[in-house]
Amino acid sequence: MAAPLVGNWTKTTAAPDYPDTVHFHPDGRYDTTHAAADRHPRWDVGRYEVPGPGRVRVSTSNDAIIEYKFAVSGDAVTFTAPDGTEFRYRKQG
Amino acid sequence: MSTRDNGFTPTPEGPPLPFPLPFPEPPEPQPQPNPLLIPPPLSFRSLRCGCYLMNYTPAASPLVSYDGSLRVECHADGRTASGDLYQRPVIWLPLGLGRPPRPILLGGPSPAAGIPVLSRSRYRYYLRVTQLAERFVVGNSFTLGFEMWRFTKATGGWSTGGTWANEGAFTARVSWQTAPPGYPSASDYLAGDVKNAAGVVVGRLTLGWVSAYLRKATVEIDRVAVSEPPLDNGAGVGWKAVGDSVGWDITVDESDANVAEPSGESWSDAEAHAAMLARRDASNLDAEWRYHVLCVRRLDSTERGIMYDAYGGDSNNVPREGCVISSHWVMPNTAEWGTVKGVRFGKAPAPYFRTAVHEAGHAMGLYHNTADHGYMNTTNVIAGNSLDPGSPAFPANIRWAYHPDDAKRLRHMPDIYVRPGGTPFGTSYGTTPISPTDLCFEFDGLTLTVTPLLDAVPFGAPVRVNVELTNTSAAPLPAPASLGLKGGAVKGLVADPSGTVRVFSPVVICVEDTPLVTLAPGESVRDSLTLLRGPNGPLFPLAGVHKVTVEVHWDRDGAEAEVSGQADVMVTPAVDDAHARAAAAVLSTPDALLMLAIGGDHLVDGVAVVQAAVQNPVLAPHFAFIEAKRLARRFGKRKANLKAATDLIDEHTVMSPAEVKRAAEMVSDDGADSAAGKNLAKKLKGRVKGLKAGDDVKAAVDAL
Repeated sequence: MAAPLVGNWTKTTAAPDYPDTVHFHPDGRYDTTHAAADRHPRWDVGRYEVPGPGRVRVSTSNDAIIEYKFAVSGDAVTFTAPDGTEFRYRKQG
Repeated sequence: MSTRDNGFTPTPEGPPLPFPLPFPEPPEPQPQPNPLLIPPPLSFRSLRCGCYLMNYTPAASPLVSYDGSLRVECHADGRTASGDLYQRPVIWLPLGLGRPPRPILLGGPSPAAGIPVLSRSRYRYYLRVTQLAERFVVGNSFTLGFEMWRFTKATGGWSTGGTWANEGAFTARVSWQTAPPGYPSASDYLAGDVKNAAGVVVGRLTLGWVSAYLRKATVEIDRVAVSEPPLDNGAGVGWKAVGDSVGWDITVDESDANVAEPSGESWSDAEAHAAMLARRDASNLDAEWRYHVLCVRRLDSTERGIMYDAYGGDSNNVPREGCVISSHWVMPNTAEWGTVKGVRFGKAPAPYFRTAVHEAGHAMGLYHNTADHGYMNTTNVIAGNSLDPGSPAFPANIRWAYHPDDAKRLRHMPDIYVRPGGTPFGTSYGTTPISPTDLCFEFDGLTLTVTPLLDAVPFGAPVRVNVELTNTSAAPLPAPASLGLKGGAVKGLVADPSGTVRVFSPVVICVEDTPLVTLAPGESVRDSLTLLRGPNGPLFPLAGVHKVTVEVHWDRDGAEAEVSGQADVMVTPAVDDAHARAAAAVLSTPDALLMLAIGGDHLVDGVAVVQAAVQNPVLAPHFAFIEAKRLARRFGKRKANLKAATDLIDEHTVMSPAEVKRAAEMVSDDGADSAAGKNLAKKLKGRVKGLKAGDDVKAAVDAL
């Protein structure tokens, strides 16, 4: 179920709460990189799962597991946070 | 290695080390083969580890005073220190009968109360300590160097955070004194004046030791009746040991065991936050650092635990007050969960307690850290890694410690970052100051004397200073072999009459490679520096008194040692337009510095301004040798011309001892039998008689 997100992604929109890059591993782990020094990202390192089409549950920096909507289009993915914030990543390689 | 009832096997690392770390003994004087050479006993002192009650009172500000703590951590490589300052309140005393109220500065915290806990609203500064007595000092004082980082809180509640600004570097030469009444140790009290980078006294600092711990906090544990309290890992590691490992004096308040479930077994973040507010035993975070741990059966938003007091979960805008853990989550029945698979979380003390420490770590401002299997890694990652070949089964692969980076953060991040109710979760490590671990330590026993060759120089002239590093102790000591700017060990700064500071440094700084010599007691190393420009521009750009600080740095047992000295030099104003023009040309030409340092005809601009200075009667004595040095050395097709060089040097030529030695070498290179060589040798022999120079200079001239 993790398949649509597996891989390395680079952020393409301004969303300071989310990391510059995220790597979703096939085994359900994810890790990130974040160069911006002003804020620690909500996604730092942990686990994720895709419980159904277009939904991903991510363990976050304070250990809350938060469900996001996502939509993959070509090499881009758009996530929608519970508060409606949208942010996008582009797949690398 | 023992195995407990729950099947948990302690890790090979064992429990955290006690705090403070074992205190190294002062070095003993070494036996000497000849009894006549036995030095008198040296008086060593060292800065006691722990928390000091600190007060900083700025000069000429009778109603401004700051209190706080200085934390001194002892470790294998020496000491690391940091501090925080809170502004002392002022009240207005009504005098009645139409008289205006009088401002009164309130008293400071009592040293008898131990580690001070002060109001967050009074928080002002973080002290990023860059220099202190890392091991032992000979004598009764040392220099404390620090940066003062001012914290400006953003408008609104504490959840809005704030910003940091470095207000500059300061030093305080602090001496041990007898503590005033009330301090637990009369002999661990220090005081000294604080100076800014220009050497101006800006205030007074006092430090009195109050605790072997660095910080203190309370962890309150409330729970629903059926949830276990997370008191330890089942193998001897409890909250006290966790705190001791990072210098925190943690008191556990095992409090309510009857918290009611508001909506069934599973709790939302908001319900946990509300229970914390309703059930905690104390809520004044300005009087106590109290972290709340709530234990419930299950959680809506996660499996094992959460530090809910962040982002939208912080309903009262007071960040990081508490966390909640789940006792009735059942670990999956899969291989990664090792010896606790299928076990209810509260029945597995090791991972259950670890999660409580992990979530409390978030409340202390820490983020996930996967660099090891310590407290701030995630349980899932640790459990998953137990399947790696050779790994102990989970939870035996838990490391019962903070990663060293996190331990340092807990010891030395600013109060306002780690204390509950301070800066919000999500504040970046990168924007928060923290003291460096490896400090430059002052090498007591060596004294650096800085003496200007001339007390006053004309505007535009280079300033020559003699430096002498002397072993003032009774034992042999290592020291840099060379104090010249080309040697790599010397750098410094010049404060001009306006207080602006400009640095100077060698072209290459590599203290690790600085050759060392052993100085016998009373023995010295001497050299001279000719100062004109630094990377910030001219070092002496104004008329008036300039303060020159010379620092000698070298590597000592893997740490950077430092000795410094100061001298004042008067720069006199331009006497006429010609002098002013020549001086301006020199000061505005970067190549002029290279002419002093390395010389060479390729420095076209530098050669031109030096030659112009030699033509000016005021500046000529100060630049004559610089031009003579160039002329005496072959460059490309141009032959060395010792006669032209000699003609430039007369009794008025300003030359440092190092330059006299260089001139002697010029004669030797050209041949002392030449007419020019004989002439210059005669001039040098006459000059060296009145010169306070080292034996090497006199020997070089005597050999001519």
